[in-house]
Amino acid sequence: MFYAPPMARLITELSRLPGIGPKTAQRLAFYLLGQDKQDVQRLADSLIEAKEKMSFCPICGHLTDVHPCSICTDASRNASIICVVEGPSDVIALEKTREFKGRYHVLHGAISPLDGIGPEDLRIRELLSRINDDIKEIILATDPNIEGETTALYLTKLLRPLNLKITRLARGIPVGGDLEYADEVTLIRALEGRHEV
Amino acid sequence: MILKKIELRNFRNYVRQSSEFSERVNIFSGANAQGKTNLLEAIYLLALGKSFRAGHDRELVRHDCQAFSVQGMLTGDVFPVQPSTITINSDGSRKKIFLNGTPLRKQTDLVGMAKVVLFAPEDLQIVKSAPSFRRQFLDIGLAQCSSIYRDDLYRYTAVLTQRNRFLKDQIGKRVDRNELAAWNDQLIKYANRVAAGRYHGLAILAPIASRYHAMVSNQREELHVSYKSALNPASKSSLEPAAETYGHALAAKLHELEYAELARGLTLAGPHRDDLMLTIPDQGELRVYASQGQSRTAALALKMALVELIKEMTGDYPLLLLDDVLSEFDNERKSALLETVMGITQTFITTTDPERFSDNPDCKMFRVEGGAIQE
Ligand SMILES: Nc1ncnc2c1ncn2[C@@H]1O[C@H](COP(=O)(O)OP(=O)(O)OP(=O)(O)O)[C@@H](O)[C@H]1O
Ligand SMILES: [Mg+2]
Ligand SMILES: [Zn+2]
Repeated sequence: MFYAPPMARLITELSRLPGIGPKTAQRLAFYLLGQDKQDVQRLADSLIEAKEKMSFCPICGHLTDVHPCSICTDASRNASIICVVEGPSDVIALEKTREFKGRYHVLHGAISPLDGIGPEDLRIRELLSRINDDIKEIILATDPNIEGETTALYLTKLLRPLNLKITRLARGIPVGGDLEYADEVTLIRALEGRHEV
Repeated sequence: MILKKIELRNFRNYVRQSSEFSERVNIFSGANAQGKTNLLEAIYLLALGKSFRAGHDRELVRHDCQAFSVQGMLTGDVFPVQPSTITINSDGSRKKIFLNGTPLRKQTDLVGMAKVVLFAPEDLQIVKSAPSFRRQFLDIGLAQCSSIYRDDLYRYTAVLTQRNRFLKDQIGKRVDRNELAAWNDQLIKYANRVAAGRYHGLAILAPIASRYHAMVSNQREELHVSYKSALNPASKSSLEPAAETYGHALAAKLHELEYAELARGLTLAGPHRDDLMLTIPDQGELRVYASQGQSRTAALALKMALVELIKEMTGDYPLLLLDDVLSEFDNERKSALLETVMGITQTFITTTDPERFSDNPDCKMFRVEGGAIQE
């Protein structure tokens, strides 16, 4: 081992983060150890604080520090439309557009047999329990990949008997995606996909 | 599209090689195991991002080296500037692909830029071998012609893998009808697109293949190429039908096969099970009945037709790579092949016997020896 145990442990922990390989973890570790103690303390505190105070909204499943979350309790939002997304980051992306004024439902994943994820592993029961006479429309905004599409199809089959309007985000443009960066295939698909389901 | 120049570093048995090519025919001669096929492999890599023979990129890195680099300088309408460079660097596990120094956003975007058709001795078996070889022949051709086909094929394969896993996981359990229906919808949607792409491509390829076949066989025999699928047993000779009805037929078939699929945990119908049917009227299916000579002639006609298909669909001739196949043909067929390719498409030929080309002004001669190429 090249590293003393405390350093090795830090590198191991950092490299568990998504998108961080051993080399980046090593660079981050050297960087952190070069910082003042109070700066490092602030980072550590913010990790703990976020972890302690943030949890999932019991209604929509979004990450929040108040329960229910501020979106679920905002009376000015349209409670008759629910936008179904895969993860909390999708909620953030859609909120940034300031276009959508309904409520959300976070599934926490998408159907993927290869990853051992079936419908029963997603927050689908919670979604069904939210549906009542006041709900008029469900927007399926799962990712435009195979797993997201299959999840949307699954939900369509499940929800169709309930007599709601079900719509799907135009396929191809990823949520929060930038049209400028969409490639040819994506654009052709998006044009094809602009219909009601 | 023309490959003007290639630079290799620590690729296979090349340490450092830079060669400039003729726009017409390039002949690489040399004894066995000197690096002739390795060079064609590098050209193929520039077009498709992977080797036609290495199971793993690690094999491409020169022994005792850390990484290889292959760089091609190309001209053609598909490129943003003239000339453009495509660079592929790999340490054997991670590959980086650059166009004019800028990394490609998706590595699959490489396919369709420099296009290739490879004809190697294994391809002589295409008529007699398993259906997967013939599917691959068509798929590699079509993937280079259409980014849509590439995407459809990629997604179909992804759905297939997921659906197979789903079926496997359901064995002995109560199946979730909605999830099965969702996977069926997905499979049918992309199967329909892949089949449509193949029907469309075959409608162009089939008459060209017949024409070449007639030429190479001196009009003695007529080759019929059609799409063979359990989903359209009726369309023996015609290529037109089914593209739209394929999805409907698959839906019905999945219904019929449901019990078997759930028992075996496997998708039992779809484009991944289809085939190209090659027949000669009155003689039946070549796969079953072809003689050695017949199957070679048909293989040659198919490869030449693929060159034309790519030209037809993209406006661009592919680079033609002929690895050691000339020796496999008699003089008549050899001449037919050479006369067809000379003058239409940039060609790279490896051979242990370069004499027949040496006084042809269209040919640029190279000697390959111990990982070095000399003009
Ligand atoms: N990663 C590698 N590092 C070093 N040498 C390699 C590597 N991979 C293959 N070789 C060598 O390259 C040579 C094979 O080259 P190639 O397949 O191009 O031969 P060829 O000239 O086409 O011969 P033939 O006429 O027999 O087909 C072999 O000697 C092999 O050991
Ligand atoms: Mg060889
Ligand atoms: Zn909420």
